[in-house]
Amino acid sequence: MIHTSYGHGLIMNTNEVKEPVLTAARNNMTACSVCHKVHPVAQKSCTRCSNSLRLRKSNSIQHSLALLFAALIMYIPANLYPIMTTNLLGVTSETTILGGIFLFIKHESYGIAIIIFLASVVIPLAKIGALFVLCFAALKRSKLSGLELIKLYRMVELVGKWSMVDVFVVAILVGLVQLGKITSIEPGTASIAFTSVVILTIVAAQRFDPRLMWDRLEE
Amino acid sequence: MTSTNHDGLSKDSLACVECDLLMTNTIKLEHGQRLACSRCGHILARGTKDADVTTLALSMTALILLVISVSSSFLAFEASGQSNSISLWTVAHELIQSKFGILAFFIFSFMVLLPALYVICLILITLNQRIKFTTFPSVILAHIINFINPWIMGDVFIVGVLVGLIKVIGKADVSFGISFWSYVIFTFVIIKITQVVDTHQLWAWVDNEHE
Repeated sequence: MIHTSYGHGLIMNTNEVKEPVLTAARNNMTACSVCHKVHPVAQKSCTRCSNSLRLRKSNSIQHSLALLFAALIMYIPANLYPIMTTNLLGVTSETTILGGIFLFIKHESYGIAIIIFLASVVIPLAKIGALFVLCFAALKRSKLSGLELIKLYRMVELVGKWSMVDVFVVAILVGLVQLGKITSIEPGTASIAFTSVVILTIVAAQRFDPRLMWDRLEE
Repeated sequence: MTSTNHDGLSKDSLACVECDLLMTNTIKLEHGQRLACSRCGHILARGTKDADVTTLALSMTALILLVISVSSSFLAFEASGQSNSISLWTVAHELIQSKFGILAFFIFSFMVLLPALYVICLILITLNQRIKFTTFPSVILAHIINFINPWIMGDVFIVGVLVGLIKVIGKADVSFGISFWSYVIFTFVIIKITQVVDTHQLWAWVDNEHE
């Protein structure tokens, strides 16, 4: 970025003037979002994989934000409805995600409580929060540095699918414990809601174009 | 030194997918070397020796392991005189019985169907590299592989099983079947495959087929 403050009578110290970074966009080139091959911007479709070419992912921020809000909305039933129903000798008890965590703590299984808390509460909320930060960094120049932002982005991509742990726990317990009338476990509505949260956040992260953040930082 | 194609672009031009930095690469990657963006550190490509043969071998192994996982006993469960052994199909079946068929669909897709499709496409695309005729257009295979990559959740499933078992372990005797172990090994093989087959490698195969 090159600042020119001559209008205010200030003269920029030449040490503070940075060279504009050589980006593909500045050279009127862009990388295909699927196969990463570099093309001139004027080209409509990728010569290698026939994907339609755009300078940045189309409507990246709008799509990501829409999906994030949807994920937040789905997070509510995921916590209010039970994630599974246990039928023990005729006694039916419904467990929600948070309820399950408290039960584990009560039975002093602190290890599992921490794992479920991390996977089902911390990770989804942290991921949604991080993506909001990233989306805003793509809209307005962020106070964070490019490296910090991109590390946040990589964290989000890495951690995304691990929120599904709880759903798989329910699945395996349902499959395992079916001794008919004596003991049985059934899944609850929250498991579908939770799956949708995971899917929505994964797609939100996919739709997001991190290059937009660097564009804002360079302005 | 660098050749240009008809676009006027250097054939070795690379643009970082995360920060859009334009770079030129003339180095042929050695085994274990990684090509990283000089601004943001994003790893653009990994070098693997004989990537196509390695991937073919790993993918075939993965497919065999998956077939074993699906057709043998996953867990055996014994409590108060009642014993039960379940397979991965039982899990899907019970979910459908509980009127949660959609959950069964997603879970089965994430752990069996999508990884199977991923591995089959990899087998076909690496075969294309080695044999004279094309089994299936590599471009389409590469698109499928690229699309499925984020949705493979075998490792999450295993962790989920272990967590779920901790819950049951006090109340019953649980033992692991062949299916469980073959799925664990399958998960490790898939992790290795996803390391070798990065975007750069995948589309290099597509380029290769066209030449």
